Parts: sequence; structure tokens; C-alpha cells
Amino acid sequence: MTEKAILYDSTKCTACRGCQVACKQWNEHEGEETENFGSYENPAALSPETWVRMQFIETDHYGKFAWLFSRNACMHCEDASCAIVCPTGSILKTDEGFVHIDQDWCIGCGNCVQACPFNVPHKDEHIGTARKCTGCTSVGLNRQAEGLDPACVKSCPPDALVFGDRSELVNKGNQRVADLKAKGYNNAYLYGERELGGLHVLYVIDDSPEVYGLPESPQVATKDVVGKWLTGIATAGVIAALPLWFVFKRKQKLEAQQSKTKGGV
Amino acid sequence: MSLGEMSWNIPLWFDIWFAGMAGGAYLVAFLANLYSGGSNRNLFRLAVYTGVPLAIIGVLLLVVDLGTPIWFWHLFTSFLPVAVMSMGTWILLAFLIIAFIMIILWVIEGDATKNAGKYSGNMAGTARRFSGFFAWINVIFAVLLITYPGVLLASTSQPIWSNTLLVPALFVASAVATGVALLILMAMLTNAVNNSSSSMLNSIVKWLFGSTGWQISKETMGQLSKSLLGLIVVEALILVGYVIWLGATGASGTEALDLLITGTLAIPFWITIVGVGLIIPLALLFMNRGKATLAVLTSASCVLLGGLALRAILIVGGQL
Ligand code: SF4
Ligand code: SF4
Repeated sequence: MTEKAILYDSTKCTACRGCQVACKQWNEHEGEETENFGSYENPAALSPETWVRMQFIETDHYGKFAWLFSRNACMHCEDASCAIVCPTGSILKTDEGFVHIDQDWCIGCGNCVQACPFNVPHKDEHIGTARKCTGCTSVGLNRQAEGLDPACVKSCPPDALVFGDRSELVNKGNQRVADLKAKGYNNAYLYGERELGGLHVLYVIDDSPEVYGLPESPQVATKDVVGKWLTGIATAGVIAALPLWFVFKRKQKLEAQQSKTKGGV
Repeated sequence: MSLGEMSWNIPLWFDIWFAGMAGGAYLVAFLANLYSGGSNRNLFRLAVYTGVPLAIIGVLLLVVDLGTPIWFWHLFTSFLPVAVMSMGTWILLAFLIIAFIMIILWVIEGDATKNAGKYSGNMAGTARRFSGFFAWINVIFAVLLITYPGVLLASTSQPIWSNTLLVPALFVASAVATGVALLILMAMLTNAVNNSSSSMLNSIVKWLFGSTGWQISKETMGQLSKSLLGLIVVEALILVGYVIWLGATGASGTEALDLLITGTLAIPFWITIVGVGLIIPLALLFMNRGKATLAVLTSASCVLLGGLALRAILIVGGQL
């Protein structure tokens, strides 16, 4: 099966939030009560019932103040930390590369919540499981299996979101980045081509990932897991056992020596 | 984020505090017995009898905290070496099963010693040899048990937990220190029971420890408080190393460190982890060299509270 992807071009995005609404409708998610926190951004964070949201970034952009837009949702990582840490094997990947949580198997331990480098999954306190964007591959609501674009892509008026074969979208994204660079946006970048083994959501951005609130070099959560086990075990084996050795063994030795000396006299 | 919104919450603080005490006490008592040539058997039994219920309570708390507690058995349908929580589940199960076998063997041994005529051959000796063998095996699981919580936190994307390799080391050092503190408190309790006039209490303790005498000696108590002093120093050094390392891991590291030592969590960090958990017990143990019972009692209690605070503050810190 060919790997698929979503290409999000932030330079074409008008932040109309059509994708946000389409996602809610298709997945039958309720609206959430929110509070204004001084930004057009709404809601302020992803949640078990909000799987995609637009971000509004006010920042310095090539020496000028700018209002930039970005997307916040699951990146469908090739090396998906959430799936690697899940102790029940509930996080699965489709042949096309989209990552989803099996709602009939997840125990709601919250490990994926802590492991995701993009802070995507959230534990649903009512249902008890962790939930996140499935790339429209949810059981019973699987658009991809029917040959349809994900709901967010379908709704996007300026075609800032496109769905298709990943390799083609990587080429398309790189072409767009080259165009932007030619226009003077020297930091333009295709985020997701290489990050975490390759993401299945690619971002065209006209400035560095940092400006767009994306982690510069995201790491798989279990990257140093062997080193971390060894540090702990070594601490138990050597550093913690050492004071005990001094107290219990040394005393024993000293006593043995003393009795020997006494015996010799 | 408020406490209620965190996906890892208060039950996890207690779970890893209990697991640390259980595994730490086991490791300490095992080594104390080994180093002293088998003269601390009662201390070792005390560690197992106290640790097993603690670990079980910890697990129950954790199960209750799951989003779907009745599906906890899904954890036992897969063995995933890279998934730390999966490993933790199997480690805990192995630790508890082996500890149960050891307890059964001890009961058989005690019974066989009392009623030598009832058993054929040297039953008591066989039970003792087997329990000795299992004690060695379980020391591996005790070490893994105190290591896994730190690795669990460190294998995430939260800078305060994952930026350095030292969270597992810090949790292990604290687990061993809380293990010693627990042994000290439990030994004080059993010794007090020994001297009590209640025949029921006396017979329970006799059943658990056998008729060979189970009093934890004054000498062992002194050695435990000296060990506690050493372990607090080790923990303090690792904490300093962690703070320095975390601060050197770029912007995310400094932000996490600020949160801990000057920001939102600074007051609890300095008062509970550093003050109650390290400085007070260190000063008390150092000044009186572990002689006065009250000073030892206070130090051990402080170390236990400091251990809980370390877990609580770091778990909260990773989710703010
Ligand atoms: S973005 Fe997070 S939730 Fe999505 S696949 Fe990657 S690690 Fe998993
Ligand atoms: S919350 Fe569910 S999906 Fe996430 S790690 Fe735990 S069991 Fe796996």
C-alpha cells in the first residue's frame, strides 16, 4: 500500500477554521465551552473532543511584526512515540501510515499523553480512553478506506490542506519551499520530511520551526531507554549498595580481624 | 494545568513511592543479611512482610487511576520490552509472585523446625535452601522494581523528566533511602510489639518470624541509621547532578529547572525535597550519630516524606 500524507501549507492557510469544524462534525464531537484568553485561537489546546485546531502566532517575522497561522493536530509520525510506549499495544498504524488508538483496547493509562512530542493525545475522563486524530480512519467513520479525503482536507477552501501519496506531497512541498526561498523567505522549510522517521502530516512553513511553535528536532520518547535503565540499575547496584557495604561488611571484616589479632596474642 | 486535569495524578505518586519503599527495603535488607553473613535474616523477613502489602496497595491505586480500570488485564496480554509500563507490570508481578513463594517457604520452614517428627527428611533445610535461592532471584526484580518508575518518567517528551539520564538514578537513590527509613520504622514497631504484653500481637509476630527470635538488634538499628546517613548524602549528590545537568540541556531544560527551583514549584521543592527530605535528617543523624531513638525516628520519617515529595513534585512538574 502506498504511504499517504496530508500536506498543510501555512502560507496558503487563512485560518478560517473550516477544518476544525469539519473534524468536529465528522467525528461527532461536541463543542466545548471556552474562555477568551486574548487570542483568536479557540480552543486554547487540543482535547479528547478537539482533534485539530488552528494556532494564531504573533511574532517577529523577518524583522517585521507578523500574524502567522499554524495547525495543531496529530502528525502521524512514522516513529510514533505514543505507539512505542503504549503498554497494551493499543496504538496502531494503518498501511498508509496513519496512527490511531484502538478505543476497545486502550486502558487509559496516560502514557501516550506524556510521550507524544507534540502533546497530542488526551485522556477522556468520561470514556476513560486516550483519544486523538485518526486521520479519518476511525472504525465506522473511516473516510480513507472509502477513498475519501480526511474531513479537514475536504473542507479547506484555499487548498492549504491536500491529501495524497506521501512521496508526491514531499516533492510538492519542497517545490513550494523553493519558491518561498526564491521570494526571500530564506528560512522556509518542509517540516516532517525527515522528522521522527518522516511524518504523515507535512507542513510548509516560511520561517523556522521554532517560529511556528514546532519542536526543532523532536525525539522519540524511548530514545535513550537502555541508558536510562542502566543508569538506574547502576545506581542501585553500586552507588546505593556502597554505603551499605561500608556499614555492614566492613564492620564484619574489622571484627574478624580483631578476633584474629586477639587469638594471636 | 490543574491537578485534576493531569493524566498522571496523585495515585501514581503513591504507587511509585510504595513500590520504591518495597523494592528498596528488600534490596537493603538482602544486602545487610548477605554482608553480615546471614545474621540479619529477621530484617530481611521484615522487608518482605512490609514490602509485599505496600506494593499491592500501590498496584491497586494505579489500577483505580486507569481510565478503564476493569480493562487492566489488557496489560498482561502483551510483553513489550521497549514500553516501560509494560515492563513495569511484568516486573511487579514477578516480584510479588516470588515474594509470595518465599513467604510460603518460610512458613513451611518454621513449621518443619517446630514439628521435626512430622516431616520426612530435612524439610526445614530444603525449604531454607529454596527460599535462599528465590531471595537471590528476587533481588534482581527488586532492583528493576525501583528502577522502572524513573525510566517510565524519563521515557517521555516532558523535559523535566526526559532531558537527563538522572531521573532514574534519583528515584533509585530515593527508593533505597526510603527503604532503609521504612525498615527503621518497622523495626522500631516490631521491637515495641515484642516488648508489649499483648499475647495476640506476640503470636502474630512469632508466626511471621519463627520461634528463633525476631527482635531487630540494637546493632542492626545502629547500622541502619548509619546507612541512612550515607544514602541521604548519595541522594543529595545525585540531586545536585540532576539540577546541573537539567540546566545545561538548552531552553527546555532551563525552563524546567526554573519551574523547579525558582518558579511555581520552588517552595515545595526547597521545603519538602531539600529541607524535610535531605537537610533535616542529615543534620539529625550527623549530630547524634544515630544514637537517640527520637532523632532516628524523626530522620526516618522525614526521609519517607521527602521521598513522597520528590515523586509528587516531579510528577506534577512534568505536566505543568
Ligand atoms: S504526533 Fe504524537 S500522537 Fe500523533 S503519531 Fe506522533 S507521537 Fe503519536
Ligand atoms: S492511554 Fe491507552 S493508548 Fe495511551 S498508552 Fe495508555 S493504553 Fe495506550
